[in-house]
Amino acid sequence: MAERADEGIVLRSWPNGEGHAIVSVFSAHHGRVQGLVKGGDKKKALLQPGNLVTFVHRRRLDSQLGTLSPDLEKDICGLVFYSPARLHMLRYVGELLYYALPEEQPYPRFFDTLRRFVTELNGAKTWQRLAFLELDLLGALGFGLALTPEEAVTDAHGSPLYYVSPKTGRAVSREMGMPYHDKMLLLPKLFGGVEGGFLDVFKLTGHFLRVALAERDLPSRKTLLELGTKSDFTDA
Amino acid sequence: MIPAPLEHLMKQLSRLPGLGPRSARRAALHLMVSPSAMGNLAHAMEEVARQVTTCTTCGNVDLTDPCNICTDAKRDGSLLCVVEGVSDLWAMERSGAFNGRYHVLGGLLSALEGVGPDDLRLGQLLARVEGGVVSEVILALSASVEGQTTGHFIAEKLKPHGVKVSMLAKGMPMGADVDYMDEGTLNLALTGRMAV
Repeated sequence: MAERADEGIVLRSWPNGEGHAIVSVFSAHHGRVQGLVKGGDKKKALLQPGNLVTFVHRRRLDSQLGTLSPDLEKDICGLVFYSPARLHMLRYVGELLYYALPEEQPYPRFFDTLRRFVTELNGAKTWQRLAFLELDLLGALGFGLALTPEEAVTDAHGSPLYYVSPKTGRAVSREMGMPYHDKMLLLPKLFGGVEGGFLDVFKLTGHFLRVALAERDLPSRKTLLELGTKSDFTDA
Repeated sequence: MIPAPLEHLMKQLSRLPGLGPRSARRAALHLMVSPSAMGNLAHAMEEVARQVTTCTTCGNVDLTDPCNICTDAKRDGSLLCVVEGVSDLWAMERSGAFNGRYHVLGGLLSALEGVGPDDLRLGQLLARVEGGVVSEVILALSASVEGQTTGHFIAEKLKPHGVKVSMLAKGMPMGADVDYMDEGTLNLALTGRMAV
């Protein structure tokens, strides 16, 4: 019987059979792990997306689902329960990672980023941190954007970085990108550009996330961005 | 080895919520050894299929459409309690604490399960609120991320209609000790504390 203990963040859970649940957890050292939680029906509070847990995963063969025994380390969901935007973020991030991350593939650096994101979700600048989380996820998945001046496509006149190529993810200077203006994505101010707000930020990350997710649309992202637009992307 | 009709029965039973293959097998074998139980069950199911209907106003199940709750003149029509399913409506009724009317959503928004706003009875809810009788909508949805985000979604939709929207309080259950509470529940209880 193979047994492994780790720390993880709950991405999603769903009922299974008679009072059990299957849970998907993004763990620090084993990546996205799934397992059967016996009596999971009575552990719904623990199995909410975003909650930080420690767990033991047991299985006889690698091809088996195995059982997962989680213990709550930090209840993130309860801390942001009355904040619509933050709660939607938890839900969206859980859904995003469930689809984006392959099973059993560790991403220790991205786990640290995610851990910091969820544990500080009650703090300030949540939208900004969500944008950088998406950027880090793209990097972890091999779709990293090249937005620094050193990596960018620049011109001899030193015009500022203004665009991002939708194909290569590389920043492009205003002069070099101008002939392709209609096809280019705007490099928002948050990522080193000269103009553009959060909608441009999420339009940019959304474009590459769609590529990373094989054109899959996430409805929770759309709902979240509608919520952000209504509140002008202020912390709520 | 297992006769085909019996296997079919077990398969159908195992599809019911809360029943897995083992329970379905146990139930099917129990019905086999007790023919009267099987007859009674079949009769009861037939009766339900024939007589019980879904209320087109609130989504409750009853013998009449509109249901008894919707037609009860003693109930306060200005209070509308939104619940996820009929079992939640029954739970509210068991408590005896609510004397308004209900609206059964028929689920919660869940992108992963493929449940969107069009799959819920949201249009009917908005139509009832637009009727002008309702002054407060109480969202009695589960205390989960899905329940809460669905609640926020409904609250946003109801905003232009100018009705009061409230949610059930969240916090410590009856008889609970503070030192056994997890931090999230304690946080919710503190946020929703009341003056005494």
